[in-house]
Amino acid sequence: MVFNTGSTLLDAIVLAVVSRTKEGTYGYSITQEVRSVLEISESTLYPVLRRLQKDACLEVYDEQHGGRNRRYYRLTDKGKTVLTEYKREWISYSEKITMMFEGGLKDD
Amino acid sequence: MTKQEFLEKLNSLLNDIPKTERDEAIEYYQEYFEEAGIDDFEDVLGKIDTPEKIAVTIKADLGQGNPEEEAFTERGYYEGGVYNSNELMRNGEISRESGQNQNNGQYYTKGSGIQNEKAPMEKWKVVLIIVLALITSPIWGGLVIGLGGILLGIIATIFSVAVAVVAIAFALLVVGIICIVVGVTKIAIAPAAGITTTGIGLLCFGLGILFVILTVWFFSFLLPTCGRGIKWVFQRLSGRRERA
Repeated sequence: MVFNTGSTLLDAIVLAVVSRTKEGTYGYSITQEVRSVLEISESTLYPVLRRLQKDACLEVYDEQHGGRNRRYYRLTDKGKTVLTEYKREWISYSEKITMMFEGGLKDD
Repeated sequence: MTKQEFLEKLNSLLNDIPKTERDEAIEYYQEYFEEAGIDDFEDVLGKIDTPEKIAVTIKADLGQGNPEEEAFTERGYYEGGVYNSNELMRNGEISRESGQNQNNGQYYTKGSGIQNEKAPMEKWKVVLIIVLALITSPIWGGLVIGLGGILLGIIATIFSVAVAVVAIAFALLVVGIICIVVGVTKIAIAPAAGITTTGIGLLCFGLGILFVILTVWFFSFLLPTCGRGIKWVFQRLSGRRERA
């Protein structure tokens, strides 16, 4: 991967990953999923998750799993709105870039 | 480093942030190790970043960007919208790349943002140089024109001297030949006048030959030397300009 992943894009990716399971998902699993498409280090995601949680885009709940505690992350209503907006922005952004790559977009 | 040592180290590195934040982070990484199936004696480094790097990441995120960064954010959605007040929006992608946030590198996979930062700086430099050049143009403009004038004068002088030398040589040779011919034909009629005329002719012819030699020397030595000199001056001037 030669392109940088900015923090906003990373936020969007994390929100998207979390939104894929209705009951929510936990830190390790989110990390693995993001790492399957992006070369990020394990430690990159904690601050992102923490920030999204503080911004009320994510909510957490603890559940016992295999005799130990597991913290699940789930999208809030605000998180859903933000993700929708991110997706919309991404589509317009990526379409423009693709058009540019393919030689279009010029008026004349 | 075992996971216990790792967590203790992280805990001590984070002792200057609020306790709730610290506990959250420690809990997260504790859970992370458990989920990753790392046992108590396993070395965690190599599987995860160093506690130092993680601590820096967490602190940088808690530190928050300064509000000015909003101005650099491309996304109007964050600025004027519903989410204006929250931190998520303050830390826009572009402001992070501006290099003010120490946490910068964490979000990049490969390559770096350094090049992106440099380009506008260079642009500013160029603009500044152009503006300065325009402001000071009366000074250096005069200088350049003056220097050009001097140079043109030197070239013109050399050229006219060359023309003069050639003309003199040609004239002396022609006059010499005419005098010799006239003198020799007059020797029988008027010996004194004839011999004098022939002598003057020989003198002129001899001087003419000297001027021819001068001409040859002028074109083969002096002119190329001057040319090299002028070239050298130009090279010095342009060299200095490149360095400036």
